Amino acid sequence: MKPDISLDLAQKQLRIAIPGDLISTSVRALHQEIDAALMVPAGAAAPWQTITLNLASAKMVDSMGLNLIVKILKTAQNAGARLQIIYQNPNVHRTLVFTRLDRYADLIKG
Amino acid sequence: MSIANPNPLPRPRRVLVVEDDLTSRELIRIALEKTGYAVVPVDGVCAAQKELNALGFEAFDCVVTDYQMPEDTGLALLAWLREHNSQLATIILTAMAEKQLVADSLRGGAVDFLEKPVDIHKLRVAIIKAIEQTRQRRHTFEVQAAVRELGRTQSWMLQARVANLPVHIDLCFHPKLEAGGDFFSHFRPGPDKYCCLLTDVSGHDLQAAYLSAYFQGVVRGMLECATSLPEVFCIFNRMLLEEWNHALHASVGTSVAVCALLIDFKWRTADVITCGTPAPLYVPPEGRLQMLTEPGGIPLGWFEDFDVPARIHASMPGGAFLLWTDGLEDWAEKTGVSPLSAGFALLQARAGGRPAVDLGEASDDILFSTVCIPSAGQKALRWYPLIHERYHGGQLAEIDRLGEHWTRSLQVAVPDLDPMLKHDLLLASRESLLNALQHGCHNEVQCWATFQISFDPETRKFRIWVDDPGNGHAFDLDAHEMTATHHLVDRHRGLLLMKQLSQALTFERRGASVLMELGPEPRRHEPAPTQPAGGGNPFSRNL
Repeated sequence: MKPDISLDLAQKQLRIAIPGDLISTSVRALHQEIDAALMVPAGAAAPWQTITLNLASAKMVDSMGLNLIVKILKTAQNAGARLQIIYQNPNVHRTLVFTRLDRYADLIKG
Repeated sequence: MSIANPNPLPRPRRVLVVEDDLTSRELIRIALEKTGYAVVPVDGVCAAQKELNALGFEAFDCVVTDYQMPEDTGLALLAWLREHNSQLATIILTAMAEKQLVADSLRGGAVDFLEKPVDIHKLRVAIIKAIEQTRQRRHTFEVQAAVRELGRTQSWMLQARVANLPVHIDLCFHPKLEAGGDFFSHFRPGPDKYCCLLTDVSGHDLQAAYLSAYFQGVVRGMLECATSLPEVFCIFNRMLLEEWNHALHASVGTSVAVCALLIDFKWRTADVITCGTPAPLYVPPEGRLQMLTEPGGIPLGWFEDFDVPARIHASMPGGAFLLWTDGLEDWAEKTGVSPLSAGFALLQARAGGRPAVDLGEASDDILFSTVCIPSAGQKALRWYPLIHERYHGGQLAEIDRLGEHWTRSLQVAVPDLDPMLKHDLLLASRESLLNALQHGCHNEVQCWATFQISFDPETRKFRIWVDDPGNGHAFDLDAHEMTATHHLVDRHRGLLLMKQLSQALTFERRGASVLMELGPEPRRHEPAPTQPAGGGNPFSRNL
């Protein structure tokens, strides 16, 4: 599984789309490319002010998936940016709320 | 006093000739009567139906019918015969040799097709063939009816309720054919004792059904004469080898797999002996399963030096025993579901609580039973186990496949399960098993975790148990929750999910044993503590 990652310089937005469930078995394949996209050279400003994580294709997010979201969230916070999470499945929304990530990220129904 | 003739002369073979043309009809009648047949000639389909109804289908041995007749065709008569479940073989005569007509006639059940004008020699040959066909069809029909009757008797015996039973027995039986080699009986071999016997004889034929019932009768008789179960098994093993298999000169011997459950109500104990059947399970009142014996073993009828497996002696506060034959496991494996979920679905379908289960792919007889021992306030089994499996530490990477297996099992057992609850069950199961395989089994193939999902049909609640062989560790659940929530650490979210998804979460053995209860009622979403808890227990394990 590969994420679809794009940078919109005009909108200063980094878009990361996950093509399925964000679970332990997919996180292993996803995290390297996401880490690379989030990398900001020391001393440089991040080229984005918003990170949009698109989970519209996901029906389940497990603890490893949540940990990946936390990692993205922390990167966003350190860069002074916001994290938006797009979801479609109500169970994904519930999982994010259960684990209080709604306090730190904007949850948007896609 | 009249004496019936013990050997009555056989009646002449009777042929119904249906032909609207008088000349042709008479020619055929004369030719057949000369050969010794009794002929009933009629001029059309209606007249033929009248004769058949008046004399009965059994009075005829075959039908010869013209195709083209004024009121209706020979194919219409053929269709009517099939509709009335007649085994009468029919020969169609026609002047029109169209290929399509031949095909339609044969598809409609005709045994032969002759062109007009009829060659009398060919007609006589065709009639001999048709009469034999009728005889074979009638014989097959009679055998099938006898087998169906046997199957009905077998089902009736299996479902028979004994008055004032000290146990509550729920059972479903699906023979592969009309009758089968699986059998279950229960009886009182003595005061304060109750015996349940499950047998599975190799094969699915009438011989298997007979031997299964015969074995059960022998065991019952011997136990009532105070013979012990191991002695009975040894005697029957010898009987099978010396009398049954030897006498039949069978190229493949007959074997009997058996599971005996002997309950002692005075001492509240149960003895279990299994020879070649799946291992029975004991479900205590709170629902956590105990496997009583190892599965498999040697069935009766294989070896002379047969050792009866050690009987398992279990103390029994109440609860239930689950017994089944390997046909259930075969079907479950083909369908990709857990055998217990399949067994539960069959019991529910039998009780009318859900649609019938499609057993189209079953290759063996299937028998599944629950034997419930009433205890305080509980008469029937409450927590039905749907999945009970063991996974080793090396199966961590298979978690998606396991999730699909659980999904299919839940679907077959509880088809109307709320999608949200199903998601929560699967996620809670995934989190707890990942934790057990990773931290309790250390990803090692020789370390096994036990996983169980049970269902209470009355409250529609589920229980999930996950046990690993590790030592667990001390931890503070609230502190973990607070840390994960307020400090955005990349750990403890599995635990947080397990807590939030379940209505009740219990740990034993310092977390190496987890019990979660999930149900349709809304969960209590308690907010995490707002202040960091100072000096909590050290976390040696990331949950």
